[in-house]
Amino acid sequence: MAGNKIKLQSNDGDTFDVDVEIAKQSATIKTMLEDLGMSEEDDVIPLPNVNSAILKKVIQWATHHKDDPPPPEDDENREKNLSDISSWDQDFLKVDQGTLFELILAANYLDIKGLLDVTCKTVANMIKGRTPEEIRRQFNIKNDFTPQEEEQIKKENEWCEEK
Amino acid sequence: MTSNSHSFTLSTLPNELLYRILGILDNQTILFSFRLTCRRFYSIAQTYNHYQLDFRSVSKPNFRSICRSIHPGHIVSLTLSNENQTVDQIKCFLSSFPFQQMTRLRSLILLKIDYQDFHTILQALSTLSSLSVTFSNSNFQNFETLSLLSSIISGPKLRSLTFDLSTDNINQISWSKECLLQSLTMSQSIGFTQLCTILSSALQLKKIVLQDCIVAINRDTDLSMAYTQLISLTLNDSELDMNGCESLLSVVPSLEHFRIIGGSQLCDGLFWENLIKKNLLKLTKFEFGLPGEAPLLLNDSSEIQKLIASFRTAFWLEVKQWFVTCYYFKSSSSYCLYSLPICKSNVKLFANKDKLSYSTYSYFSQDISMTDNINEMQLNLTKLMAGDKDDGNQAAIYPYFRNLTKLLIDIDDEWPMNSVEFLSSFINLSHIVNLTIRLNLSIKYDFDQLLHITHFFDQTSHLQSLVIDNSEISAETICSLVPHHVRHFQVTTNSIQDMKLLIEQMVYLWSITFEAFSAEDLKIDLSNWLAETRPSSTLKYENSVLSIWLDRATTSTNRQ
Repeated sequence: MAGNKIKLQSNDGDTFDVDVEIAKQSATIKTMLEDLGMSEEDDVIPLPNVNSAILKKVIQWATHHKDDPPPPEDDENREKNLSDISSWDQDFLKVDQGTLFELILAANYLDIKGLLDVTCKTVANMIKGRTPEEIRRQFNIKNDFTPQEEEQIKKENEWCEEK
Repeated sequence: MTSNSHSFTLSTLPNELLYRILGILDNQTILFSFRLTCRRFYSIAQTYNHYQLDFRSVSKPNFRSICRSIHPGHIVSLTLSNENQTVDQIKCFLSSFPFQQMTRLRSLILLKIDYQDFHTILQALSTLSSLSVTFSNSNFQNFETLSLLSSIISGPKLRSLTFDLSTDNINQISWSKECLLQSLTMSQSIGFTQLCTILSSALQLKKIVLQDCIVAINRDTDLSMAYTQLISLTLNDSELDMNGCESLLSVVPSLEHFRIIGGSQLCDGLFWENLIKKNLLKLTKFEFGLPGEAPLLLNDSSEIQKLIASFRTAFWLEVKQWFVTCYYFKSSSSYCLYSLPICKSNVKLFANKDKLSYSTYSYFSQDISMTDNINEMQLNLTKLMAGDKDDGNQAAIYPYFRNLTKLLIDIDDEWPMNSVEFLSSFINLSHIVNLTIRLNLSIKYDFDQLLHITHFFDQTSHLQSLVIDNSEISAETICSLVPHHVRHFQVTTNSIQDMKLLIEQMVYLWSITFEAFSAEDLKIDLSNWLAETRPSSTLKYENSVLSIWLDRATTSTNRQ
């Protein structure tokens, strides 16, 4: 099977030829190929939730990580290590926020655990250790608490400043 | 940038993905930053039901706020501790948190709990898959509690158990065939018969970690059994000899992993080679730290080669590819033989001039992963740096210990110049979380000179817990020395005035511990003073040590 290609189609009509083994890092695509009996040569796999620019990035990521061991299963007790992002991934994810969140949505839809982990960790790093106001500024979030709610929250958390 | 990517923001992510991000954030950020950003995030943090709470190092006000902010049913993992840094935490937790409502709790760690509280908690637990307990006393007589513990061990959920019950208490636990435990860790030694009793019932038990197993072979000892379920066995502080090892390992023929630290006269590669070939055909990972006595004084590393010649056969180097390194200590003519990577988590570092070493792995000194398991170290900085000078001013080459988090430094003279450069050559100081400095200085020493330490402290950016072991150093000097990012501090003092001054001045601390000969006499005074100034603080006296988990100061104290 090595070297076999499949065609992936983005929601804006572009088609990408991708090695089957690279594409199979997506559990969604793997299921389509294996369980639904789609043939590799002829059929085009439509990906209605992913646009061309993001699909290109996803394929770039999957190509770089094609020889990685399979990521471990989700574990409730896994260590919350936010610093173990490889330097290649860090460079790959130096993108604007819109692209980063589109990559998270694509990784989730395509079920690529490694990409979902690393993109979520990148967002978690952008949140960690910041104040609520800094998070609002960072992600352009509107403070929609009423003055009464704000007062209540302030009262509840007045002794939580120390980190 | 794609044309429409502006429409994708953190706020537009679906809840399931926000929950996933919360799963990798710490609770402090979730509760006191993310949650307070906007209404939707507030509601998401309130409904998030995978909270993993570890309260081993937390300020008392934050502990209260976190407990108040989370629904008990949303906690999956919980660590509570009555250690000196969080005195009486378990009682505080129980007074406001109903364990019965913790319906999703899977993993529970309780440190230094008293038996009454343990009994209360045990009654409310039915969903646990992992339980780890250390007790405030090593032996207890409450049969009812042991019976409750037995029923949890035999319950349908528990898979992993860690405890430090005494040998007598372990004998009182009944192990039933319904037990589905897969992993068992006991920090006491147990007898061979006890081990066999456990293995006869716990048929799913794959992994056991013990302090030691006492194998006394007599007429009643049955070595014909084979407990094939066990695939991993660790003995952390063993006194076994060759006969003991042979007997123990003969009943667990399916071991894939065996670790032994300690033991007597076990530094013989041929003995292990024959034993493994005969009894442990599935063994793929063999870790050891074995002490030995050299028959003669050794003078160079070629003589150490002879000591470990039996670990250089084809079996070790080619078939198993198991390599060893040997450290010989000149002052005692003793040595220690380690499998690689070194499996011990705590080591004492000796000056290079005081030891010789030799490894069967050629790249030992260049491969920094060889010391990755070591996270705790003791060293005498005065001796180490003086030793290097004796070596002709050559910078000493020590292996790099990149995972070290706990460090004990002995100082016999003034704080040495260039200590930062020296220590940084083999330790990542910014990783150190726990630091103890033992100042073995004369009473006449000018402690103001210690201010040189501040340069060293500047490098320890993640330091949380600091112990300064010296009773002569003044409270004022301590206040100017201790970096403000330290949260837990321990010092030796017998003066109640100094204790009060330190508590008043070091406002950034979460806990403070005083080691004092007269601690018991000072307890009432200090307790009364705390009741006025830090009313909700908790104080404990134990073995000449007074520990306080500090709560916020009263408003009047704040204004002073």
